[in-house]
Amino acid sequence: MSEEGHCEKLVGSLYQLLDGEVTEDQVEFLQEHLEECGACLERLGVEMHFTLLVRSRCRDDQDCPDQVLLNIKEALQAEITA
Amino acid sequence: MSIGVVNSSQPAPGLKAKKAPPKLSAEDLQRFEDEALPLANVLYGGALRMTRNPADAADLVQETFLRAFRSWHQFKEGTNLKAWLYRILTNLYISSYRVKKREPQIVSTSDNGDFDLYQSLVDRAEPAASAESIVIDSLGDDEIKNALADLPEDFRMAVSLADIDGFSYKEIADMLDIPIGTVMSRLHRGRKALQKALWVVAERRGLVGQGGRTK
Repeated sequence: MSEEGHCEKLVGSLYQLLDGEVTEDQVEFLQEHLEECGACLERLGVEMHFTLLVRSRCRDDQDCPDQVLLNIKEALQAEITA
Repeated sequence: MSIGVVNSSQPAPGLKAKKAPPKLSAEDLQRFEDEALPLANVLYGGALRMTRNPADAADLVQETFLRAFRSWHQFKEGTNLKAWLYRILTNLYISSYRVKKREPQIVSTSDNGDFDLYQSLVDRAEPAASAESIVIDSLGDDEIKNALADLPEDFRMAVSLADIDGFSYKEIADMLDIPIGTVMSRLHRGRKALQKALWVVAERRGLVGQGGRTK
C-alpha cells in the first residue's frame, strides 16, 4: 500500500483526535505516526485550524430576544397556575 | 385562557386518560428559571442555525422550554443540562419544523464527498498552513455562515452540533437518535462538504485558481 493511501485512511482518526474522541490505543498509534509523518501532522494542523475557524465565525452572538424570554416566562407561569 | 375552548383537562372521547405527570410547583419553576432559562441565548443560537429564520427559532426555543419544564422531573440533577435541552430542541425541530419545510433530505455525495482541503492547499506549492490562512481566513463571517447554512441538513446538524455547540459524538448520537458511527460519518462528510463549499467561494473571489484537488 502506498504511503499516501495509508495516510488517507487516517483522516477519520485525525478527526477523532481533533474531537478528543480517541481511545488510548488510537492515541498511541497516532502519536507514533504523527512523529514520523509530516504530511499527517500538517493535515491535522489544517483541519484543526479549519474547525476552530468555523466555531469562531459561525457562533451567533445574537441573544434570545427579550420578547421571546417574556413569552417563555409567561407560558411557564401558566403551567403551574393552570 | 381563550373562550369557548373545550375543557382540556378532560380526556378526548375514546382516549384513555394518560397518567398525570407530577404537578409542578412554584419551587420547580424557580429552579427551572434559575438553571435552564440562562441557557436561552445558547439555545436560540442553536435554533437559528437549525431553522435559519428568527421567527421559527423563537417559536422553537419557546416550545423547547415549555416541553422541558413539563419534563423537568425527568432531568437528572448533575447531568448535562445543555445537552438535555438540546435533545428536546433537536427532536422538536426534526419532528415539526423539518417536516413543515419538507426539505430534501437526500445527501449528495457525488461532487463534494471527495474534496480534500489539505491536498488542495498543498497544491498551492507553499506551506499548507499559510495557504489556509490566505484562502480560508480571508473569507467573511457571512460567507462561512451561509456555506454552513446551505449544507444538506444532516451534515449541517452534525457540523453545527459538534463544531459550534461543542457536543461529543455520544451526545449528538443521543440527540439525533442515530449510532455514533453515523455521527462520525456525517461529521466527516459535512466538514469536507463545508470545505468544498468555501473553496468554491474562494475561487469565485479569485483567492485560488480554479479546480480544487479531489482525491
